[in-house]
Amino acid sequence: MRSVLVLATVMVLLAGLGPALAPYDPTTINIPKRLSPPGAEFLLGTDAMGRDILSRLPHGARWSLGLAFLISAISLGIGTDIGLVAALGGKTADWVVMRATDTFLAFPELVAAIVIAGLMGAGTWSLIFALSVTGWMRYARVARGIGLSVRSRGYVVQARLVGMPSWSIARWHYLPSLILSLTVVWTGMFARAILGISALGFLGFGVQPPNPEWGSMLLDARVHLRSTPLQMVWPGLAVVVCVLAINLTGDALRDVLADRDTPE
Amino acid sequence: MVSNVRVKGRNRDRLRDVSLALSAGRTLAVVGESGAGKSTLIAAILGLLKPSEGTISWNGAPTRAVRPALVIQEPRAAFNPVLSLRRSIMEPVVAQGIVLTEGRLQRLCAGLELPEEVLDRRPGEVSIGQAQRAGILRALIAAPPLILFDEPLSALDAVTQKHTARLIFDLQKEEGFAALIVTHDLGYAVAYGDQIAVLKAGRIEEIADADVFAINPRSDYCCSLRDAAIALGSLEVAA
Amino acid sequence: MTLKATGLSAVRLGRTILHPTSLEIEPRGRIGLVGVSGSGKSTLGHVLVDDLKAQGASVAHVPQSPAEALDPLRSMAFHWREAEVAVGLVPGAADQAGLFQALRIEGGDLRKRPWGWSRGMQQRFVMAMALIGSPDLIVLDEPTSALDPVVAAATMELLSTFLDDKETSMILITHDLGLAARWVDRLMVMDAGRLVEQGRTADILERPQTRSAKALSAHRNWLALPC
Ligand SMILES: Nc1ncnc2c1ncn2[C@@H]1O[C@H](COP(=O)(O)OP(=O)(O)OP(=O)(O)O)[C@@H](O)[C@H]1O
Ligand SMILES: Nc1ncnc2c1ncn2[C@@H]1O[C@H](COP(=O)(O)OP(=O)(O)O)[C@@H](O)[C@H]1O
Ligand SMILES: [Mg+2]
Ligand SMILES: [Mg+2]
Repeated sequence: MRSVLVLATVMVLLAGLGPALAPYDPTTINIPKRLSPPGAEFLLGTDAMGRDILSRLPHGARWSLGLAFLISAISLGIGTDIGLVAALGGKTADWVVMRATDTFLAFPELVAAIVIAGLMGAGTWSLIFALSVTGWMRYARVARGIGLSVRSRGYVVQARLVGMPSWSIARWHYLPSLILSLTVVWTGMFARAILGISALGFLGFGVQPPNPEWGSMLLDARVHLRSTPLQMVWPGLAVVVCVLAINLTGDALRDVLADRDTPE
Repeated sequence: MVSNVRVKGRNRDRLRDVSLALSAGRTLAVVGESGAGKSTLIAAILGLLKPSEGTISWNGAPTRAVRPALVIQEPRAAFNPVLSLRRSIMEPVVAQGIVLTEGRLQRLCAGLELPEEVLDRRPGEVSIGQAQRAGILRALIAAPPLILFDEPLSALDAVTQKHTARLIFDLQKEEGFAALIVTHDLGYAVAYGDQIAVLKAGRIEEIADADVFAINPRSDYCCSLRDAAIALGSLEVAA
Repeated sequence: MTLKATGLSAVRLGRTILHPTSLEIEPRGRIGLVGVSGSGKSTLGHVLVDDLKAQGASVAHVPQSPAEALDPLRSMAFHWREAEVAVGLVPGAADQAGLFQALRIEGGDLRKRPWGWSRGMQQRFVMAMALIGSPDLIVLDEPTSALDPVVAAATMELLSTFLDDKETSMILITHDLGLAARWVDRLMVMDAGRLVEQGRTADILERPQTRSAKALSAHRNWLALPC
């Protein structure tokens, strides 16, 4: 648990402070020094444009983590609303919404995102849109499940009977139950968003050069895989460690919440 | 005010041709085995379930309009686990903008033998019997005209049961609410019910004045219920 | 074997809700635990179960509220499998149909989550889970509070047969003195977090010594009081 927290904190600090500590500007081109191996001058080497990889990685973290945060927050909002509509809107609404959710889930998420991003054209906005509209289903499922179970609980039935206003029922009775579980889902979706961003970046649909983003860094490095394979390792490693840290955080969170939920 | 109500279930009807009347200041006790439809009847009266036939009303309007109170069967589920009991108990008061008379809460607490300090805890931090009494307190606090109790004394010991029943009775005399009390305890039903209805498999087997029922139930089923209660020592009938 | 627990106590929110208590449960013992609401019966039950488990005894516990034993987000089938695995059986090995029939919950839909079942059914389901293995002791906290007298009697019959077969001891926490009189040999009375009286069931019901035992036995009957 402790080590997980340390790892997560280090990642966030790197994304936050890294750019300030970075030895070089991440977008300055330095052709004479292109494809330098790791050494005293460039700790992790340079890429095909001679840009310092060590300086680009934390900037990439900004893009990856920031976008992932945005995307997972947007799909959290969409998914929760849709799930609650299903749970509270009556039988017909439930049927319609759940069939729609199943339909969305039937497509492989990433493929769907690639198609959407492809149709909209490359760029940050289409990346955000594509990953958000393909990422809300799990939230919707969980929110619906919780909504249904909370709705039939005694205290909610009683609150409705005594005429408590809907917004205050939502605030006091639904929100606490939702927050706990949705946070756990959210960590999973956050990790997924990072992967999605990198994948789209690698395919050239995501964040556009010269902005450093891990996926597009991977794409750039691929061409020179033979000569300087380490170039591909760094951003790849960053993605893996990041996703791992987030998933472990999610697991730890789930355990903590499970302990908290069980009565003595 | 409940007439010819039918609630369909998946395999068989959950309620069938049920008619009964509740009136101000009087208590109807409903007994019957598990699954007989007692809780279903309560849900139907409150409009939480739509009957497929028949009508349910209170002075010509839907029951919900008079803000009836409900005491549910599972004591802890009556309270939001993350809020103090006091907050939930005050919900009807706040929602309906009622001003409590001085000392009402204290009086109810005393009658229910609940120390007031208990109300500042969360439902997971009180005993189940205390949660059950807090649920009754919540139903009584806003003086509603109709209260539906689903096995309100099931988690209470012999002594507290009697005191709680007494408080409900006294308050009913003062405030004149109509009460429907579902119970497994025929002794309680006979002692405090004005009328007793026996439900079996969704139908009303018998509905009679309490004193008549105790001495002379009409059907065999009701006789056996009464004898079981006598055998358990909760009911005593003068020969 | 005789189960022993000494110095059981509990402090919650800075208050002592169970004062140091020691218990001894002889083999095949059937002990009743009574007392007014809030006197600490369930607390003693929980603490005792934890203590005995720590000693390595196998103990089944049917808590007062089924919600304590069932996860609202898991199906009943899931709970059943977990219970089977917990006593070392392969899933599906226990005589589910037999138990369910005896407890009259064969109509319950296992695919549903706990809240799809009535409270009385949930309670009997938890009891069925406790009866899968053959524990040294079973602690039942108000097992019949949500059951009608007929089903309650059937449930207790089943339980009694089980106890005889498996040589399991029982602690029955109840507010129903009729039930206690019928099913337990020894009665313990609690008041304000202490065991205040114990002895043979009939003795305590007929000749109670302490104030709390007297009150309980005097309030047994509804019509004994003016109304
Ligand atoms: N988690 C907790 N925090 C604080 N107080 C608690 C907690 N759990 C129980 N109590 C208090 O301890 C006392 C004993 O509780 P317990 O649940 O053991 O009572 P009980 O005898 O089982 O009552 P009942 O018959 O109502 O179930 C009560 O006064 C209760 O309010
Ligand atoms: N939510 C539900 N959905 C479908 N059937 C139900 C539901 N709740 C109860 N029932 C069924 O309705 C009948 C009456 O149940 P209920 O009113 O809870 O009985 P009681 O309160 O008398 O024990 C039973 O056959 C039960 O299985
Ligand atoms: Mg019921
Ligand atoms: Mg208890």
